Amino acid sequence: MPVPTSALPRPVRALIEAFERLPGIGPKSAARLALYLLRAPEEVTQALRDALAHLHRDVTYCQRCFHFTEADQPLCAICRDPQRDQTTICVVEDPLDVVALERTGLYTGVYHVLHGVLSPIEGVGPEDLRIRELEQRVQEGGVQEVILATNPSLEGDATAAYLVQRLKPLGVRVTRLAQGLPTGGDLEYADQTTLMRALLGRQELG
Amino acid sequence: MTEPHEPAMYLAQLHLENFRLFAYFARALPRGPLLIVGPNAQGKTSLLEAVAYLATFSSFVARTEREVIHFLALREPLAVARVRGACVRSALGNTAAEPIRLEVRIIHQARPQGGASPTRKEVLVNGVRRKLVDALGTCTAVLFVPQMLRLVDGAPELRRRFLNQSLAQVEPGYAAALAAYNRALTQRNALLKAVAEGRARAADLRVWERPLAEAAARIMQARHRALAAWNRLLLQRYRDLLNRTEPLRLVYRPALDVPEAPTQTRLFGGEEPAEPPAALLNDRQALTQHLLDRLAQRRELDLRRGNTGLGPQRDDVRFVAGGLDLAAYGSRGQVRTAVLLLKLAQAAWYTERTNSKPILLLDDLLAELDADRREELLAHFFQAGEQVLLTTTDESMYPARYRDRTEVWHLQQGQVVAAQPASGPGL
Repeated sequence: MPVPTSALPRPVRALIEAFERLPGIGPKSAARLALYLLRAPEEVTQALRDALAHLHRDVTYCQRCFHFTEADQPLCAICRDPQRDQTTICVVEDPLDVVALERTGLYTGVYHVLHGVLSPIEGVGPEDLRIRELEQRVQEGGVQEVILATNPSLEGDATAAYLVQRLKPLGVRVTRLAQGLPTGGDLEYADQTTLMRALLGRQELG
Repeated sequence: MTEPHEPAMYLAQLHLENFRLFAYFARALPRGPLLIVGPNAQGKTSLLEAVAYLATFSSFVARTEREVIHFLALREPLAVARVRGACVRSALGNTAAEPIRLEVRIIHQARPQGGASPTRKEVLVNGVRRKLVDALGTCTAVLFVPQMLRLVDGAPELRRRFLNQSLAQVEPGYAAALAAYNRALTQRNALLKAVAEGRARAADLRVWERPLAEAAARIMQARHRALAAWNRLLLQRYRDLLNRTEPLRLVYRPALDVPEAPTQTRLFGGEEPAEPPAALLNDRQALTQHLLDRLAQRRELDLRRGNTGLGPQRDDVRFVAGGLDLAAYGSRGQVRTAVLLLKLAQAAWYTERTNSKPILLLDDLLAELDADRREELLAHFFQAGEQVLLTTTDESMYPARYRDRTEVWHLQQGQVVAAQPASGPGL
């Protein structure tokens, strides 16, 4: 519910409304955050002000993989790293997926961030994603494998199917992340879809 | 008569909050027959609807789910209707089975800015939140309400909803396939629109057609198999009940986009719908490939129409007896009997699939049937289920021979004002 005009001074109301626009923040949390900042020491608000000011000015997209990078660097830290294997590209939906894959410490290749998935309902088509740029990277040569790591959802699968269609003719190996049961999970508690995918993707032992 | 020890599903407890006219209702249920007696609008049908919620998590009766929430609760910003039950699937030999606690919450949250506020649902199994598709099958029930007479001659949408609610209870993966199908269908239809407006290319439709065809094949194959099983049961067990000559048959009309076999015209002007292409429906891979091919072929056509012209959202089922389509040629009595036979077949099929008889919920079953037919059908229903919940406005219609085995509740404005437990032995 909007704060009545009489109840709080205009700048406080403006801050509450700004917070309310953020995902996951309701009117109560927004009011609590705003009042906290109002009473907080100067250095807390200063740090927030600086972080916000630098956010857009100092962050941009990597020119190669479209992950985030600092504004004075055309390439992100991963693309710049000479240790990374430039012949393998892992395609993800979102920069947070890069973070998740990096946490494994296992992947030594580079990335390509699509910034979304195909979804006609939301009006997202191939030209709204960084697909043309991915094709260019592969066409430039030197790429041996493209790993499709979009989410195992209807839209993630459809995007992967689209990418296969586009990349296969370019003569590159295209793979998809294995799908199935989470480690430490319990068969009994796995949902039907996950179990079905795991069953279909079973592997021979020995 | 039912053997007392045949495995059956039953509800030991029913607990309602803010469900229809029940602000609060809690009562233990008998394991055998229960007759709910009362004038109209006292909550008889709503009690059956509530039990059916535990089996399908949806209503066959309500137009919108919001209407099952008590009207006073709806005045609150957050309104919750709750149906809770303790379901027991008794095992062979009458060993005491652990009851499973099921809870369905129908939640309506008013938006502060107004506008359409959606109703959502939560399902808890033994107190733990579960996805709806994963909790289906915990409780199995067969519901008859007089509105279902429209199944025979009403819109195909009613028959599809009935099929979906029936299959989701016992066919693993059916509800999930249905959800996947609807999502893929929405995406393909949105893309058709984008292509028609020049915002996308027709070739991009392909990536949505694969998941669409896979889910469609699952759904259509499940429907075909269920209807074939129901026809087998109708023939084996209920052959003579409709018109003493020919059994009731359900003819599946899948929207597969195949040229139809010519309908057979019968002697007296009736037309029997063509049989579905069984060979195709029995082979999942061939069916998926067929759907994929047809979807690709009809892109131009679908572009002009602006939606997808084949698939389970366009399926239909016809009720046929003696070569006649009952939608056009059935008498009122025949239509009523046909729907009741369908319910018997559904119950018998559940028993085959789950190894236990389902709960039977029969609203106003006794009306409009003569005394002989009433007894005959009741005998079959008591055979098909152990916990049988019946409603009536007129207690005298209930055959005397079942009386002492039946618990009777008199319902007034959502309250049981008088109850007589069964006095005699179980059925």
